Amino acid sequence: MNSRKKPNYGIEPKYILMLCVMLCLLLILFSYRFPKYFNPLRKALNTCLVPMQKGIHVIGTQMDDLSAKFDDIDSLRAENEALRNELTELRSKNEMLEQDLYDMELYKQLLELDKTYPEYKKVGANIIARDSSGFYATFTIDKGEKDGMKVDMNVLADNGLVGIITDVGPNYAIVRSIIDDNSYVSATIMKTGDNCIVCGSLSLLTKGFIRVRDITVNSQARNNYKVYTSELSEKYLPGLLIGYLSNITTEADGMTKVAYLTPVVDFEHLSTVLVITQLKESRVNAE
Amino acid sequence: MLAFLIFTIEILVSYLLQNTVFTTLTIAGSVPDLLIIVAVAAGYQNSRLRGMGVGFFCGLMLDIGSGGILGVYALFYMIIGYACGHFNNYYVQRDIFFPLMLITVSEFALCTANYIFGFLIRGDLQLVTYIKHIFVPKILYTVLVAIVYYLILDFLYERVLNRKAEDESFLAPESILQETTERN
Repeated sequence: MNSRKKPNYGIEPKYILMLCVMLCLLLILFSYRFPKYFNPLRKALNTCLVPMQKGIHVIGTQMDDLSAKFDDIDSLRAENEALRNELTELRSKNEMLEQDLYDMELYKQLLELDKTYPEYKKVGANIIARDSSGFYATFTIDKGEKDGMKVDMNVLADNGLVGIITDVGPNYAIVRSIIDDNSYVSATIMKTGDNCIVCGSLSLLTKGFIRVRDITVNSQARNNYKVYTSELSEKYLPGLLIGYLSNITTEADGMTKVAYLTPVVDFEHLSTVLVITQLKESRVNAE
Repeated sequence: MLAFLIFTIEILVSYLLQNTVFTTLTIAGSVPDLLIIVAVAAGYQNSRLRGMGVGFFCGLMLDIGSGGILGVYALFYMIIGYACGHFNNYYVQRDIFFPLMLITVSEFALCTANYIFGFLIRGDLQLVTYIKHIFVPKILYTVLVAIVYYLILDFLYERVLNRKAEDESFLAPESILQETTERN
């Protein structure tokens, strides 16, 4: 490639570099200003890549299952003997109680889930790829336009808010999670009703928190108060649980309070998510 | 053509591994940057131009995958690939120490660029936190993976790309050498 290129043009590589840098800068400018023109390219490439990513994901989960199975066998064998005697003793007592408890837990969960998000239709999706730079918290899911995904749809998991869809292709969608440094969610603190903004923070994330800011200075909010998405938000549907407050302090300027927030979702071990197929706009329009 | 094919496969495989397999094998929350290994290797083993081209496409893949603005990573990786091409004269087959140094420096530069354009630009001054929690694990993990990954790339270069160059009665395609002969 090179041995052919060089003699033909005889341009010094540094000039080619300069030219390419200029081209890159132009590309950045254009894709920032007119993102629509680049969508076909982006979609075409991602559409080709997604099946491969899906395949790797499937193989990966199967391998995980397999290794987990072996682990289970090993640990079970060791535990089995020790537990067997105990188990026989307890079995008769436990059987009835356990059944009752299980049923009760199930009903409780169902009831709570129903109470929290009664009105939204959801579709499940698998996470097939993640951002690898370490600076951003975006990921790709295996549902796209074909499955009714649209930009700005909210994404949930573990009963809490995960993020929002920022880009959609035929068979994939890119989700920006709320722990991403560029994420801002307008939220409400339960009990006190104070409005605030939940923003991702890379530096705080190393401690397992994200940031809450713009809480009014008179707020009575305390640690462990629940934070929900607010009615004010343009893109997020109201009433989705985000997390729990902690470490509330007044800002240096004395005008607002800031706090830490522990998300309910375990972002480290996220593998499946639920997408709400209703947009905030359509909800507002319908009303 | 052969080189083109091999680089395409390298970039594709690295991108897929990096975004899928390694995101489940994180160490301290970081994913090794396989694409930078490819970009550095392309520059270091071949030439500035190849490093530049391969770097550009490595970055472009990341740009496209992230769904954001196109061309940012492409620019960073392109410059890294080009810079590594400067060290083409020092290329020794199966030498691992020097390329690892290059990868370390490149990854650090990339992280810094990422920080400057993603965070500093918005007034975020917590560089020390980022160095501690993101730069260091990422660089270490990348270098760790590079020990194996670079050797695979080196093997590919040695067996496939370089052989072709020898057939054309060139040494390793050193752009600088060719330039000077041309000018003379």
